[in-house]
Amino acid sequence: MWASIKSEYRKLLTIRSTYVIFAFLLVFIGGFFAFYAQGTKASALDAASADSIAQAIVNGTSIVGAIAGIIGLLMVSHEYRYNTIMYTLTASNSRAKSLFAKIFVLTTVSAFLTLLFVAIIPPLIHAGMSVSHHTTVPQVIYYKDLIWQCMLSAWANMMYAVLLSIFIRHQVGAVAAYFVIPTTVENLLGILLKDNAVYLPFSIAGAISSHANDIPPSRAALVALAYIVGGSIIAFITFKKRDAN
Amino acid sequence: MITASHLSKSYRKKRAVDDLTFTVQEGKVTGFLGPNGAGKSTTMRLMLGLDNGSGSTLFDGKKLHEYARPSQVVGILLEAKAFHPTRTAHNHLRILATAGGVEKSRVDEVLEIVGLSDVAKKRPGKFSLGMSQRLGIAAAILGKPKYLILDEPANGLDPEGIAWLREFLKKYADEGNAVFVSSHLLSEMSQMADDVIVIGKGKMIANTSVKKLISGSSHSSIFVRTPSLAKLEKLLSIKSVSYEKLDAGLKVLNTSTDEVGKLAFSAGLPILELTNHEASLEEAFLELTADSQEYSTKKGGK
Repeated sequence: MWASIKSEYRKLLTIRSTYVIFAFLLVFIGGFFAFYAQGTKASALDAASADSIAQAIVNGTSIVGAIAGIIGLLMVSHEYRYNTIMYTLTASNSRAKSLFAKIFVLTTVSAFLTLLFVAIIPPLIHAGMSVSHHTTVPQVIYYKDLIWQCMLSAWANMMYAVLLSIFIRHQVGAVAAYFVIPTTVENLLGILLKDNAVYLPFSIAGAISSHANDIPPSRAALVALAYIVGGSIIAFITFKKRDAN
Repeated sequence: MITASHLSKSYRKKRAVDDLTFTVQEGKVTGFLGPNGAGKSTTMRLMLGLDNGSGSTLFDGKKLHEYARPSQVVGILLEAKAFHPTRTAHNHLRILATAGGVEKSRVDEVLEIVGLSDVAKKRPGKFSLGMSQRLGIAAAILGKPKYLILDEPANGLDPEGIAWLREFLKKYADEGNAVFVSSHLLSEMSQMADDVIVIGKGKMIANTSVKKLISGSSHSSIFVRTPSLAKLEKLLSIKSVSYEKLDAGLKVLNTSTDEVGKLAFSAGLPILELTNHEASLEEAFLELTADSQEYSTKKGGK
């Protein structure tokens, strides 16, 4: 099992796209979003709000989660695109182990990225503000709640991406679905479901940290987990039963 | 020994592999032949558990997933370009070594064996087909497996590469390992393989040694030239040996030069020429698979 996990880490760290995505996150979330938009260009209204930095962390990490999901999506879909899945499956004596190793590695990646950005967004905002000589009112940040909610929200996105790529297996199709479902499908379903649209998979994952529609984070987390568990069961069965190509 | 039993696989209504049962022996190279679409690759994937079908494949009496380190039991090459194009050749093999519990020093060893040490740090996306095949072979032998299952490993190799592959696989088998290899290069296969399994439309056509396959072909014959042609024809007819009349002599089928020589000698017939014409593996293969060609061109090109 450990061999599969080490191998998955090595896969992740030896392809360019991992570093490109990481660099993009640093530049876009760290540089543009935190330092520039929330720091240098902070409005007086933002500076006067006691939870402006907490809100910035929630917003920043939700984008981190969405983009980090692409890492998960690529990690699975690359296997099919380049047919390395045959090596992955014949190196391990169980398909379940191979799948679990991937999910374990991606869970740690998601956790690492979320924690990193929870840690760097506040100092970057302060640094940006100091450049433009702004100050904020004293901030109230409940780090304990913020961290688990942001981590779970990002992880849910990552898992949705992984599940989509296991179901679809075609890289372009999986990427398209990953962007179309939250932005288009869930919005269209929202017309029918109205307030209940927040319970759709991607919306509820976001609601864990954003508290959309005043849904308690624990309830949002439970609903998202239900989607992930259900999806994982189907994904596991299909991963085990379908031909590896 | 690899024991494949009753392997079958269907795609909707099409039977891709139909109840194949065979063994692959240690110490031998076993060729796996069949026309395009015969089901060779699917059979290999079934053997490895990559495709779901029916039947079973045992490696030394155990299913592959019963081994803790399957890649140290079976090395595979099913597709030349099965690697991420931007991950270096070295890293590609390091990943496989890590997953298979193989020492990292083995990565450099196999790169050396296949002659890719100089490009180990290069991205294989721009590798030629031949270089990709070599990388695939390196991946297959990484875990020093007892069994090799290789699908068209000679595709894209240059003549030097093909010669190297032939010697390498023969040596690998001579060390007590079993090599199961498919190829369309029949002349190569005839030099490399000890046994051969021929399938067509998913069904078993032949499972024998290369020698027997060739000698059993109608293209294998004896040519005999004698001034007493009529007498020899009469003798052959009495012994129920089939023959064809040619301009300069007789083409005698299903017998040996020894038998024809003895027969002529016993009747006191002078023999001016007695030669053995052995069919090529290609001739034997085409004869066997004549009814099993899934995709064939019309003779004459029309």
